[in-house]
Amino acid sequence: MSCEITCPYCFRKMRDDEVLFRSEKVNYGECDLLPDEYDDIEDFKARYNGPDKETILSGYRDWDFFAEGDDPTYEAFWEKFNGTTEYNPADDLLHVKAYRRKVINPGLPAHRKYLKPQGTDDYFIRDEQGMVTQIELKTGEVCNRRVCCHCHNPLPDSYGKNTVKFAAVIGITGAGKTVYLSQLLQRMKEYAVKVGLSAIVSNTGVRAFLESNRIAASVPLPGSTAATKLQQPLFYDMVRDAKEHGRVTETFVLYDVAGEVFTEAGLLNKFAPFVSHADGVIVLIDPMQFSEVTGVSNVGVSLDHPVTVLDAVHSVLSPGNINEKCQIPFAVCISKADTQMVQQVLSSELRDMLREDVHSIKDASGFNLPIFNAAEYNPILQELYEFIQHKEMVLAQQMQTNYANYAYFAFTALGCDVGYFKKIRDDEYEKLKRQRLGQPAPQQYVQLDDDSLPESVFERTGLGELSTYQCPIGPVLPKRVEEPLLWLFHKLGYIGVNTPIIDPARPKICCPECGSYETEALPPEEQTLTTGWGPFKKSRHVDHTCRTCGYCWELE
Amino acid sequence: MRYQYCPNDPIRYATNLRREQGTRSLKWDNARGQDVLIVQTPFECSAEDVIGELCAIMERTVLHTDKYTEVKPGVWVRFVTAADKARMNGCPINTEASTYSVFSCSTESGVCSIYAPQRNQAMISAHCSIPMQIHIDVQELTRTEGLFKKKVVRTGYFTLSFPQDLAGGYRDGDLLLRVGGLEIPATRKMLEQGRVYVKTDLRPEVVSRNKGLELI
Repeated sequence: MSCEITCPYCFRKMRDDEVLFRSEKVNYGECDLLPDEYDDIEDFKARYNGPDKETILSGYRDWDFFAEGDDPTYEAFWEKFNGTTEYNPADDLLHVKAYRRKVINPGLPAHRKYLKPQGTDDYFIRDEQGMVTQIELKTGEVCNRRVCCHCHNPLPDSYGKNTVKFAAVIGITGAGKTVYLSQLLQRMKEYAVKVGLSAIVSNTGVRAFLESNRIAASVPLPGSTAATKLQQPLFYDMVRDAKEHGRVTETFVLYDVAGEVFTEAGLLNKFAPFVSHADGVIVLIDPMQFSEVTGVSNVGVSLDHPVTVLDAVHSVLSPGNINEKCQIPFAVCISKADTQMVQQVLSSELRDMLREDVHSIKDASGFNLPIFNAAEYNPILQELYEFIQHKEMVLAQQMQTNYANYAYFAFTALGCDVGYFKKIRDDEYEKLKRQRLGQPAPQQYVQLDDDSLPESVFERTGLGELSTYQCPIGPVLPKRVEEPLLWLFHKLGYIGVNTPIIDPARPKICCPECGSYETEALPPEEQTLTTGWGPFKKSRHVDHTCRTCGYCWELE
Repeated sequence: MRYQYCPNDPIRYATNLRREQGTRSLKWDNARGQDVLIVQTPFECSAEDVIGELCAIMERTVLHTDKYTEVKPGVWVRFVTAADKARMNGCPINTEASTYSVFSCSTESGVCSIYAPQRNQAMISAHCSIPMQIHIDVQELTRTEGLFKKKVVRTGYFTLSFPQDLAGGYRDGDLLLRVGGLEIPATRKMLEQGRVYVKTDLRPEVVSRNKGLELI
């Protein structure tokens, strides 16, 4: 079996037997094959004339092949993003960065001489499905760190074996994308389980992201991420029970994209591929950019930024088809829905719904069904649509004009207030810990009273540390952060839906028989309704049906 | 059992008290395995203002384990363990037109510590006010007279019919019967009776003095 793989970094395609491998064998420091009296290999070549010169040189070349070093192809890719963000905690233990390992190309004879053949003219080790996964060095090391043959970026284990779906999370400045992603990734497994899926992390990006962006009560919130940096893609294998077909695994890749890149042409070109290749997009909007929330009367001023970003996103998603609506699923999310100013402008019904968790649909045996709970979501969508339609017409119009498959969401990633905290000095903290030995560790950050806030909250200590930190005043209770993602899972075909998701832009059509709004247009082949029999048989034209009572009628 | 009111402990949080849509059930978020105390107070009255007093009262009160106990007029409490919460999928409300509060609590060596809730947030709160819309039917009692019973004669009485489920958490005086210049507080006894008769020639007017009790 030969698989076609799309690189999640450069999006170029390759066959599974075209991938390259990072070597497990790494040589560090200086080669000890050279006699001490020579400065380097050039000095050795010039001055040494012994009979074993060629043997030593050959040994040196073998050593140098596996020497830790820069990879120009990899460096070239990351140069445009101000350097790599690849980080694997295991690298610290192994004392070598993964991207500084020798990249082995089994297609090159010069590299093959270090590889152990796995059959006639084949150096690859394949898995049960026949996909190339490993090579083995003649010295016995098995190399399973696959990299893209075009950009030398890492491909997670089993990446390429299953269908891959890409999704971009775009945060408009200040929308809290990092906090959102951290909360989402932290609970990804339980969110996936809500819709009968198993989410398996398949690279170290998720762990590294969570380690550097921890969200907890009395712990400083992560700072904003540099827009110019490309964060590592976040890989998940989504596994679902397909009943008689066994289990189905699909790879889901999330990209963290800063909204700022869409307002600077130079950055847009670099980051555009991560959006243009996306099968779904989640956009986070800071509600403070809504005039209704801030009380700003000039809509143009307050909405300028999200609209600019959404326009740019549309031009990336529909290149050359600027007159066509974008078809990919597009989730527009209002973050920080729990803040005072937002709560003041939302209806009480919507406020109540947003306080609730997203509920799963269970089968008779208590397992969660692979179903998006649209019955619960539809009233939220309707309320949000009406809010945006009435209060933020520019955004509503833009979405309606540019996107064919969009929905609105609102969530809080914290569910608590944020306060200013001060860090206890390390020596004092250690003393405190010793005093409370055997008890839970004390907090290293203590909340400041309003009176004790320094004039500038960004004041720094002499040690270069911030004197004041913004921390959640716990408990941290995220609400509905998973809803856009589960909606996306439905749109990508991973899960079904318990009732059709309403199209809020479509006028509501009421059933003339039972009064239900659960109505839908009939396809042309079903628009003839025949009643009676024999000579009394009559046909009439109908174009709508009611899902509640089954009545069919022709809309006037 | 001794009860003590303690400062907030973030590790033992209990908050986001809400009524589950379309049900008579309260739900909340709490730390794993956390037991809680639900306090029902008159509409928009803070339980935090009386919790110290409640601790003293509860020490000398026999509390029901599976239903609300009235510990002082208009104030009801119910302990809900983590297991109860899982079994009942929350906790049923006692009556509407009240404010409910959730406090986390823990019991050790015969002392029950009740923890202050965290500061309220715009969306997430340990309190939940549940208003109620009621209709009280006021009818004039008449009788018919004459040969063909066609003449309607006033009896000098009016009947007031109260909803059946109102009496449970009702506080005396929440409703007033206004007859001319006279105001008569409606008591729980009257509500329990379901129907009361007022001897008057003027049509009585029912007035709510509880913001959570809306007359329709």
